[in-house]
Amino acid sequence: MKQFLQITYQLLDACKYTLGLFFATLAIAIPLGMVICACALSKFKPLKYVTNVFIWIVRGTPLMLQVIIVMFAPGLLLKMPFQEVFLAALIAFVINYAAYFAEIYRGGILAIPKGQYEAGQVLGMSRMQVNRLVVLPQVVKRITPAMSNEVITLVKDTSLASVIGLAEVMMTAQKIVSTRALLWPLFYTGVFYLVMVGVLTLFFKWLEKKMNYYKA
Amino acid sequence: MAFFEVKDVYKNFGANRVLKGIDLELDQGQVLAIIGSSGSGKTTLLRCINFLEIPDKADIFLSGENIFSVDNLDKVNEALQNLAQENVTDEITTDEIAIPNDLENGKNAEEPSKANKSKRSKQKEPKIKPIKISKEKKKQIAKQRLKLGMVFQSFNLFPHYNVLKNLTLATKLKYDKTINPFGKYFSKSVRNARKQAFKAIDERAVELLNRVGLGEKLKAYPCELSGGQQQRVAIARALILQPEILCFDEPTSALDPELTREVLKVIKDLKKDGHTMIVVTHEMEFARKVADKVIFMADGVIEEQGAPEEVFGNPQSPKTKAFLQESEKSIDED
Repeated sequence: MKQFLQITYQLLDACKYTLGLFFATLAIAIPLGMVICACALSKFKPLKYVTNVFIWIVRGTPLMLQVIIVMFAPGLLLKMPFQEVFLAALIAFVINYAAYFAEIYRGGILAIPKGQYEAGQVLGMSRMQVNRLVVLPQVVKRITPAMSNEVITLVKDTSLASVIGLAEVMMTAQKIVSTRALLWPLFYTGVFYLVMVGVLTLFFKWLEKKMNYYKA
Repeated sequence: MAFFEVKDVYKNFGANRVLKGIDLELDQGQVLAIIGSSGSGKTTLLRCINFLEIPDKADIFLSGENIFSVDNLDKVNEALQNLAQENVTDEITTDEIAIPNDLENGKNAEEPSKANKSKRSKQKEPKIKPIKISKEKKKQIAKQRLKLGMVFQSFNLFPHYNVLKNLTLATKLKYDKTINPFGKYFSKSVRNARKQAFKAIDERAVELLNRVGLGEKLKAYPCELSGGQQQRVAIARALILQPEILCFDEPTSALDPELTREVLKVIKDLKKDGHTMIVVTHEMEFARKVADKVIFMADGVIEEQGAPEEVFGNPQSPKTKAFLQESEKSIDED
């Protein structure tokens, strides 16, 4: 029993890295995704192509590889190795998730009928006003299901940071397995992820319900 | 000079000549109905009149003032000519391929023509660089456009706002532009004036909604309304900006007969109130009974125009005759 509590405490402590990485990634990737999305929709062709190549690379390689590259490339290329594992993981996650979010935003924006822009136009609203007051609220509603999916994936993807030694839940469990010669803590981690994802699921359900006052 | 005059409207979409020189006139308080088969350019004409679509050439006058003016026809024609020259060589090759095919496949006489068609469609999509419009001109267009109200076929209400906000949003934004943007946060007098102004806007919106028979639907969302009700809200929304002319782009094409009637009744009432209107429509009976003037369009030109009695009662052009006959035919006759 004592052992169980000890291990629970250890894993709970490791959650601070998992959750820290999760919230920090969201806080930066959600706005950054908007910037990337704006670039991908830009009428300036070179910017559009560069953005599309960027998205292709980010979506076309495993996140684990991206984490490794961000961690070790500065050391190999510039002789400036990362001191902080968390920062390296965060940068890799932000880049990856911003690209995915950008694609979700883009899908949401393209789904808004042209008539909505025209209605704004004939009513004398400026482009900015149409985007802010007509398009954006509708995009938010449209992308919520896709975003909830992506955000839930992010919770589980944080375990990939263990590849560069960030002491998040999975890494900690593996350490316990090797030092205490116990296997069950590894399975036990599932409970932690389930709880986190459960809370998120409830949150997004609530959010969708809140936005359900109209149908598009 | 007439109250509203449209002169020399030309519009191409790529190599497709949609409008080939349209002129029309309208007096104040008149209702103009534009009829014609699909693809004749009716909707494009309406969209060119309020510059939702920038025509290649057009001059539009409202009470003597030239509100829109554009002339890029020379540039467009030049581009089209270059394009035509490029395509000449292509077409010869496709014909050459098609002939031997025709001889070989005697059985499937249709096939080569299909192959031919698909080859043609594979040709480079004719593209003409869109002509750029300066920001200043765009601003000017946006300002002038408010003189023309617009009601769309698909209503285009804002689904996330209730009926009242759909009506008042644009007007309130317009008011906010006239005051100091920080005033509403810091100055009590500005805030009070704003409150008063918004109250007046709301009252006007309610009045308009009552006029289209939807006074009790203030707080409803568009998804809770029938198509006819949505279109009536859209009409009220266009009216709140007090346009000089109200344009309707097939306002009833998405509605069943019953709902069509309730929308057309509103339009008829607006006529009584002296509104000048341009209505693109497939409702022949409406055009005949409500319009003061009817224009029949075919292939990008005005084929026939005049009072409804003339156009419907005694059509001169063979195309008009054919169209009117076709529209009155019942399905059994085919």
